[in-house]
Amino acid sequence: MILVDGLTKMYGRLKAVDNLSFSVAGGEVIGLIGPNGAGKTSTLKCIVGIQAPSAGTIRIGGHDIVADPIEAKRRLAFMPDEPQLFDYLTVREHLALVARLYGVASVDERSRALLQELELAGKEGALPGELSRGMKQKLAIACGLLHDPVALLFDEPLTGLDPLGIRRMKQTIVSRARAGAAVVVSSHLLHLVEEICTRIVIINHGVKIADGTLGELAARADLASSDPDLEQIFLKATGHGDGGR
Amino acid sequence: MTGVFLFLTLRSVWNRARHRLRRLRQPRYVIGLGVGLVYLYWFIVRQQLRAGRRPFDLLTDPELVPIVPAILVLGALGLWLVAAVAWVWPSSEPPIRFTPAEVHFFYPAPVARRQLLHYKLLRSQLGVVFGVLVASLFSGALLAGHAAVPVGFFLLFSTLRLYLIGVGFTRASLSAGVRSAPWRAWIPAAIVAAISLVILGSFARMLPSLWSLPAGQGFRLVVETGREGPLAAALRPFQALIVPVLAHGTGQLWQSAWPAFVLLLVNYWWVLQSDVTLETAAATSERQQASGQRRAPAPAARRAPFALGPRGRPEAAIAWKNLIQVGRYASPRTAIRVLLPLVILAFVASGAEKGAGAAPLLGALAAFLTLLGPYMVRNDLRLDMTRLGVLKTWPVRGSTLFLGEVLAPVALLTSIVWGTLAVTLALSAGLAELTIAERLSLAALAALVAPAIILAQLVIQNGAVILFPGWIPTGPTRPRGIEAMGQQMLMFAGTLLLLAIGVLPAGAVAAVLGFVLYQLAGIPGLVPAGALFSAALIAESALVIALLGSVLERTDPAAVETGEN
Repeated sequence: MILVDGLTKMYGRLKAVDNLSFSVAGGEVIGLIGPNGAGKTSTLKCIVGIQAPSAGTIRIGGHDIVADPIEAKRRLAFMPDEPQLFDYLTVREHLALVARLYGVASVDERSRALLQELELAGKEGALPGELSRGMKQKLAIACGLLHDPVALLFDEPLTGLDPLGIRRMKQTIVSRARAGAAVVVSSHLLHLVEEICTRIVIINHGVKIADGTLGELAARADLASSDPDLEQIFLKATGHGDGGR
Repeated sequence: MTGVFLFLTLRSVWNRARHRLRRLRQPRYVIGLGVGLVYLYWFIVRQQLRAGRRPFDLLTDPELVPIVPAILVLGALGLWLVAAVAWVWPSSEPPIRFTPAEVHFFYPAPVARRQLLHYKLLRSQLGVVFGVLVASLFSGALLAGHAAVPVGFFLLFSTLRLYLIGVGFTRASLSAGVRSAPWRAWIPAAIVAAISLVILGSFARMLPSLWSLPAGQGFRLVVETGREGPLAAALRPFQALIVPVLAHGTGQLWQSAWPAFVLLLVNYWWVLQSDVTLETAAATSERQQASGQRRAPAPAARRAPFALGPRGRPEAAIAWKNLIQVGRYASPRTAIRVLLPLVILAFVASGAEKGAGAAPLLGALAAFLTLLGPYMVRNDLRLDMTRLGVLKTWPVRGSTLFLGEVLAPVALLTSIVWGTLAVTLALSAGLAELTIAERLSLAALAALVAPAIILAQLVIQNGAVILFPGWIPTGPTRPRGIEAMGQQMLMFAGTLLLLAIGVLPAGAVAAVLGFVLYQLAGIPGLVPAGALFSAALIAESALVIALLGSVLERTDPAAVETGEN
């Protein structure tokens, strides 16, 4: 579903992402983790077509994001950490706009189900200014899920959510993967990644330094420790071998 | 505590000035500064130095003395209108706005509310001082070393600012559910209401004469009536604020300024008396900040212009979104503010009985809207480029996005221009020199040409944002300063130049056709030429949209220049 092959992203002379390759199959949830400035957001922005890659290939459902962006973008959804909404559109209008852009036929039915799932029912006529931070996040996610994308990318999806919202969000992500979508979750919340991700990609300074299931990573000689949780693995992989202590 | 606020204010001014100076290292700002300075020198400074005239010699210059009563009466009427409208249609802006940092640092701090109020009043004086400088520069007082005029402007602007804050506080206390504001707070409202009754009564008595007299004589009647009797008495407080601006020399200033100074103090006292409502205003700011709401003006959920179906061209969806934006931020008050002066102008220009007098004026307004409307209505990429990250995730081509973005302002401006032309046509019945067919033809010609010119200008403006994302500020706010003014002038000149170049091929072909058809059929023959011109210009615009669409697809959101807060 998502294929990243040799992705490099340069900002002037700075190499933010360096020859990064990984793939996400349908049903997989990949956790993309790394320290601040590792290149996670640049990678996500390249995958969804916000930024052009300096080199490499990105395919979404077999469509190249650079050569065939329309078909590639039809198949994906990107949920940024900060919900980007139009201040002057109501919840219902956001969904109507997205439905038209992506050609979603049964918009009323889909919208109702999504608003119910994300606990936004009753807020259809509200403007973003009238919604809490968590509700805005949910609206952004509803917009992303409306066209039933096969590739989903989440950047810090739990920011601003209350405990119940966090639980629902995790369920939403997992259920989309179970339905066959390829999911990438970028987060600093390692317990979230550990809990919902089927595979983990660790990057540092734009370079992939580990890729595998939690068990595979824990089994690697250079990452092994007495307490094989993701935090220990992450700290070792990023050069804090003593666990940051 | 005053020292802290003074420190904060002065450091903020200093750091902002440093930031402005530092950004002059970038060519776009230094070029903008150069253009802005040249403009100021050429059109303001040079004119004033060359003429060698002293500014505002209204009270002594024998040629200008006769217009002083008119200035005093009309200026006072203008100030009364501002004072009255502030109560009836208050600004959507809060009377005092706290920045997120101010809320964060001052609200939890052991600072008395009255100290906070003084701090905000101090900060508001920065805007007043800037306004005084600009007014003094444009009036010539600054260059002539005419010290009285800036003082007069300061008294006028500062009193007005305090008054509007006071109105805002009093109204805020009511809207926040406070059962009653202190009785003192309502004194200005009662005074303004009484004055308004006198003024409106005077105008009601004058109305029959104004209706029958030509515009010039009606104007003189208003001025004469405003010089004596109850109208003069009602206008006196407002005139007290204008007289110091007209004062010639410091001696005359001290003689004439004391009533204005008293008014300033009275308004200051009124605002301080209202500080009980500062809690309300401050709490509102705090609540908005805490809930992450955007600062005023906030949009209001009104009906969408039309229902958007799930199937169809994406351009329509983008235009729909941008049209909603206009409806959500505009209000009936905005429409009244725009239309009222036009109605008054049309009335004055029309004289008493001839609607035909207003027709040329409205025709000129249609031309004005066609040529300058695209600079004023910005609900297109100039606003949306700040969200380019979102727009780029949409499965649409760059050209589709570009076209969708400009469609809303084209539709909006075209509707307004067509409406204006329709009224012009209706009022032109009295123009005896033109037949009905000729008037209809001219209206049709204008109606055909206007949308194409509007589209071409919007394509140029939006195209510039795509080609030079780092040069053209986007978003709801705009950069300030002389360099920003220079940038905008460069942009305006560039747009006009490109429009002239774009119009040339279309205009040349249409001119030949128009010349031939005019010889054959007169004015109606110009309509097909206009249609050809319009079609050619639209085709050129479509070509540019297609070409720049691919550039938009490659534009990096990080390269987009945003406005200044």
